[in-house]
Amino acid sequence: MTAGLLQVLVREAAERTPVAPAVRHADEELTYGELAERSSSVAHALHAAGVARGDRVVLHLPKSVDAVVALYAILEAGAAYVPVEPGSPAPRVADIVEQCRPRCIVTWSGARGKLTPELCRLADVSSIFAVDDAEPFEDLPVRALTMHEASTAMPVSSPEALAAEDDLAYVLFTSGSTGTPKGVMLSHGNALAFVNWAVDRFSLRPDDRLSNHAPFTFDLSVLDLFGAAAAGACVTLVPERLGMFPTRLAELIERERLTVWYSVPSVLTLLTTRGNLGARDLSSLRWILFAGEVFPVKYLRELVRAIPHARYANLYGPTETNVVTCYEVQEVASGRTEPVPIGSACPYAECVVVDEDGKVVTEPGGQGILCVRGRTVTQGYFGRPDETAAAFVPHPLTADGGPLYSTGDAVMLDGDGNLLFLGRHDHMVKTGGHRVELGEIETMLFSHPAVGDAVAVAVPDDVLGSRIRAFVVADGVSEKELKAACALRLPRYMVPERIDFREALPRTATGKVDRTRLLDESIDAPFSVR
Amino acid sequence: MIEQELLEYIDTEIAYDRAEPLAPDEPLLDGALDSVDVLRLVVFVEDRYAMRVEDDDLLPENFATVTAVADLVRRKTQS
Repeated sequence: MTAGLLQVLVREAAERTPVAPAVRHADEELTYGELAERSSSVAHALHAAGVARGDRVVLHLPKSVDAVVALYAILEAGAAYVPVEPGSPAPRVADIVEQCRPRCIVTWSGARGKLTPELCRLADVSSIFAVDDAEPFEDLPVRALTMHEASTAMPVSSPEALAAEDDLAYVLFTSGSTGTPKGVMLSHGNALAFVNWAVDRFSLRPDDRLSNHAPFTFDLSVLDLFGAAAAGACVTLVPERLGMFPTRLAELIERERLTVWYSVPSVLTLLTTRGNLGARDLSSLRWILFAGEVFPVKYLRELVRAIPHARYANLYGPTETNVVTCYEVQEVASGRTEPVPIGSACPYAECVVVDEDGKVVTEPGGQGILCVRGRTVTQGYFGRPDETAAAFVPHPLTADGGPLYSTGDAVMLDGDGNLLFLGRHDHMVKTGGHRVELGEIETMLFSHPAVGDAVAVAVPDDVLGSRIRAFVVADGVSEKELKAACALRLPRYMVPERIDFREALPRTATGKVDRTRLLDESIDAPFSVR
Repeated sequence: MIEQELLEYIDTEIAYDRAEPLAPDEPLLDGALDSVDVLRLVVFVEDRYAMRVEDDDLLPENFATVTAVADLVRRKTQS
């Protein structure tokens, strides 16, 4: 038995309760016994395909129980999984594959055409496992077969690969300001420090049923998947298209008798405003957890009113640190307009607020940038030592225990020992909980030959946090063409919803683009009115 | 014609990255639209046709195709 590894959670649950449900999705269900056996046999198949300890395996497919089998199989094989959203455009998939150089890619027939012979050669990919049909990949210079074919004759016992808790478990790619996504490296130990705390903090137990709303590319999924496994509980994968229809989401919570819900606030806002919650029996919900962006307090208050028996917690932490602060919402006073705090540090995290002079803030009312160290903090960005070095700052008080990861988030200490999120000083924004570097969008716009000048702004939005809009100086190109050019490399949520053409962009006295003025103009002229 | 207006809106505002124009009976929810797109479409039809998409209208079957959305608009504006 190898302690301190994520896949061991499933093995242990399978020993304790082999017939308990582990994963549910649409009309499929796997028990812990089945999940352990199937992921072990796929892990043997990955070894047979040349995957070894320390390798990466890309996971590029829609959510399904097979996707969860593949995820655990990758860990069982001693490798790290690199999730890539199924809707990602081909060049973005290529960017990530080129950066992480996976030995194997687990995918589905929908990726037809996105994985090219050049890419497979360049990134040294040796095999592709398709969960449905391998035919679309048979012309590639790799061994292409279905996951089922690959694993069918393999042993169902764990391959017991050599591994240690500092080994990478997953690499999550997030928006990078220079124009290409960067991969945040997280180890088994990083994930488990958080998961073990969450199991304890939210008293997760075998009869719990957790939601998995977030895509696997989003670290919210770490709580859903591994928290459930640690407790021997069941996780229900929320089908991607259900997320568009709030009344169907409410129906799913009722039907699946979900006990723990975890998502970005914008999904909860939609559930509150359009989910017709009063018509549903949601009494099974014990915890409603949210993270990733600010929850507008008026909607939080409405939600608490609609589902009064549940407990609520605001979790905070960038991908680089996972959750490092937590605030349990006690009550949302009727006059309150400011968002609830992000709370106080989790026991495994040292949260230090550093002000402009590099001094540690300890007095209530003091403000600064939140810096973090502790067991959940990333080892850095995959293949990018310079950016890794730039993300960390020396501890202002002590060198013992290493430097601090600087979140870039401005916070204030309140009188109760909680932190309040204030905002950011750079150009990273959130839309629907997704992290977006405006610079990455601007790089895309500038790369179009017709564009002379470009700026992207984030317009505050009640539900989504912000919506992206761009202003360009360009000749001989339409808005539609520019959006299409952006969509070639950027995920949909990063493509500006509206692109305005200008003769010139306004400048400040120092010659920089006047973002504030463009933002004010954007707020005055909403998206839907032309 | 409602279908035509919806197609134009989706073509420029949402399905900007498609090579072929969208057809009225083409599935919208199998990758053409994401959750934010659906909400934008809701706001568009509410503004354009002076109607309200109720919680219970916001269902996959009403947004499955452009024809389905147009049918919803006709139902809501005629009653």
